[in-house]
Amino acid sequence: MDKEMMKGSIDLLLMSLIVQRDLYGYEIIQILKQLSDETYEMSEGTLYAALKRLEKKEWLTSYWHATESGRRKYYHITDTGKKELNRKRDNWNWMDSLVRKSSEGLI
Amino acid sequence: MNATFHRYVKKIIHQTDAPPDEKEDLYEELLIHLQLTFEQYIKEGYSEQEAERKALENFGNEENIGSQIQQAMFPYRKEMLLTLAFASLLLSFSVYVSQLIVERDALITWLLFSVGVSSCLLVFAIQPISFLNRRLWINCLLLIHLFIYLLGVGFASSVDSFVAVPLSILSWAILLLTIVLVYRTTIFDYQPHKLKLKKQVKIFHALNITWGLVIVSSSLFFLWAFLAFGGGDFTMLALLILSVPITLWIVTYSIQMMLLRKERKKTAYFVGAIPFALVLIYLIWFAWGVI
Amino acid sequence: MNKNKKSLLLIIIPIVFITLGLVIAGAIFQTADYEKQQGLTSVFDVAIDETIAYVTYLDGKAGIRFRHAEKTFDKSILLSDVDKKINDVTFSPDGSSIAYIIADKDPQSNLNSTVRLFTMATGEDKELFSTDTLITEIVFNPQDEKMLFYLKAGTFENYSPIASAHPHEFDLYSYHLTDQTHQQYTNLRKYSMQSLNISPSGSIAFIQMPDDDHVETADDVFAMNQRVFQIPLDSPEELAVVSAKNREKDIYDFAIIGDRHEMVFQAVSKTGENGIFEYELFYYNWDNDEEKQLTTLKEHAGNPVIGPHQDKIYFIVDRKFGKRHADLHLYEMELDGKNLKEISLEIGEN
Repeated sequence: MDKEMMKGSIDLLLMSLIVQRDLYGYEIIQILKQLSDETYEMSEGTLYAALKRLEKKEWLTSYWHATESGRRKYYHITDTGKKELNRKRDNWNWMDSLVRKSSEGLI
Repeated sequence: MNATFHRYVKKIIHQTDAPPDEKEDLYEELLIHLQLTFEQYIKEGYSEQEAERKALENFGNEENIGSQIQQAMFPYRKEMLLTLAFASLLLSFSVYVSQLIVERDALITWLLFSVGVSSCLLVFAIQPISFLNRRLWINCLLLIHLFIYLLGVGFASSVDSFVAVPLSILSWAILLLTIVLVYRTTIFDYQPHKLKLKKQVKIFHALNITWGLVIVSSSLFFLWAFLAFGGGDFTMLALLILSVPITLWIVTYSIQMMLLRKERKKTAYFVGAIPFALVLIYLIWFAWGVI
Repeated sequence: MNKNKKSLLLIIIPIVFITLGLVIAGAIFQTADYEKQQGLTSVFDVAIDETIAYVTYLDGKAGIRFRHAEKTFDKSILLSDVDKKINDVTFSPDGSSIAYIIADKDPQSNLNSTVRLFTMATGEDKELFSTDTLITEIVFNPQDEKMLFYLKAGTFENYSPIASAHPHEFDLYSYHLTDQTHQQYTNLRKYSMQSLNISPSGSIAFIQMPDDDHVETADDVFAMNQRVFQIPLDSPEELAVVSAKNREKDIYDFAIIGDRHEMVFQAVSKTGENGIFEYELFYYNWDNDEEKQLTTLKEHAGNPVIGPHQDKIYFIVDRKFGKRHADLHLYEMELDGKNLKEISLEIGEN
């Protein structure tokens, strides 16, 4: 996938996942890989920078939680984060439908 | 755990300005990630060496990732510091050259001090240095920068040539940027999770900085008046009188922050009022002395 | 070495070199303040034949040059010491010689004044007297070319902690060239005295000084005005204000016009658009209290000197008043302010 495109939509991707349930970094990468049939190529470190950015904007919060295999840092979406996610989704859908219509050609 | 991973994560953390507890947190988080990737590759049948190499490769270049995280935690910090440092250096050199050409005055001491403080800012911007209390260090540096470039405004505007206008504008812009950075560093910096009363802390910082700027600038004004009209009759006593309000400000500021950490809001407000009252008395006393 | 450290070094090294280069350039090209003074000063006098003697600086060295509409002069008085300045010049009544005061530019390091006499025809230049105090102004007795009046300051210090050092405790004296004696006229120890004028008869001195007769409280000091006093030389205690007594206007500098009970004085006309005071010249007659403004240059006009035939006013205009460096020009006009023109003066070259 195009890297520039990825950069613009990583916030939407991350929040779409975290809104379903609290996740930790490694988990997110695994899910993304699975969902993209191993075509997800962004460096894993970049994910953490993105998580920090969303945390700084107070769209996500984080907490440590002990699991059977050790401590993990989980991310949780906030109420403002949810609102922001809806806004981003609407934008995406609008863009998506516009792209579709444009691809169908001029009448 | 793996020594290579430790070294690698340390390098990433080293690129950031995060406070110590935040660094520990990040350190553990990234290390866990690498470890999990490593274990996954081992499970898939790779050799230890191979797994280690692949885990690091997936994670990315450590300097690159480090500066990405820094930018995420402190957006525009690097850009603003760099802009300030380069603009200040430009001003120092051009004011010095203009003064030398037009007035045949060599402001060597000011040049050395101003280039020194601007270079320090440059180092801070490019190479985050892990100090125990990084925020305090940056703020001290910015405050010294403010003093030195306040003098710069005077030197810039006293050049008897048309260049005085652009130089003065540049010097005022630098002062403004410095003040903005002081507020940003102190108030909007990455707040540690543990700290409660977040909002109060921001209010107290904002009040104290504003107050500090007022105290420092008025003290400098009196100092200037003493030096300019006193005909060199500058005594240690005058210096003492001038430094008292500044010391008072620093002490009460620290006490307020300490009280807030202990969540004693009311006592903090009380301490915050002390310098206001004292400076009021000082001003009345000074006005009395003049008449 | 990592990428950051490399780029840091690439930036820091040129900064260090530029700074070093600038420091060296600064050490070579900087000039001390006292070596920088250049061009015309406000010190000048006009002789009976309308020869103008004016003080100029060339790279900090003071000198007296002469100018006449028809004559050219190959002589000038040039000081070789950059530490010295010329406080005042005065032509003798017949214009044959000129007396001048040399003092240190920095009176705090060396308080000393020397009065010298230069003979125009021969170029002879001799010392009249020297003193360890500050002589600020000097003028010949119009009736006696062997007698000089001068203003002397008793101290040079700062009276208040927020004021710079100035000469204070002024009094009026005279010097007799023949018997080399000094005579003191006043015993006022005035905060300041300026613009010493002597009446054509040689019997009255006119001096600008603060009118502090009724000063008792701090408020009085602020309300105190600068006025022109006349001092009868045979009875100096009978001094009296001759400038307008009831006006709040401060008079800074003046010149009396012969025996006519008239004077030209400098005062602030108004505050200019840039917040700097505009100084103009005014006319005043102290018999009928008539006053009128003579100049409207909207700059800084001052140092009036009345021409020998009492038909012209010579004065100095500072076109950069309030700025770091003054830009002085000599002007002349008629007594009613008409026919204003600039007199171009030779300043000398490097």
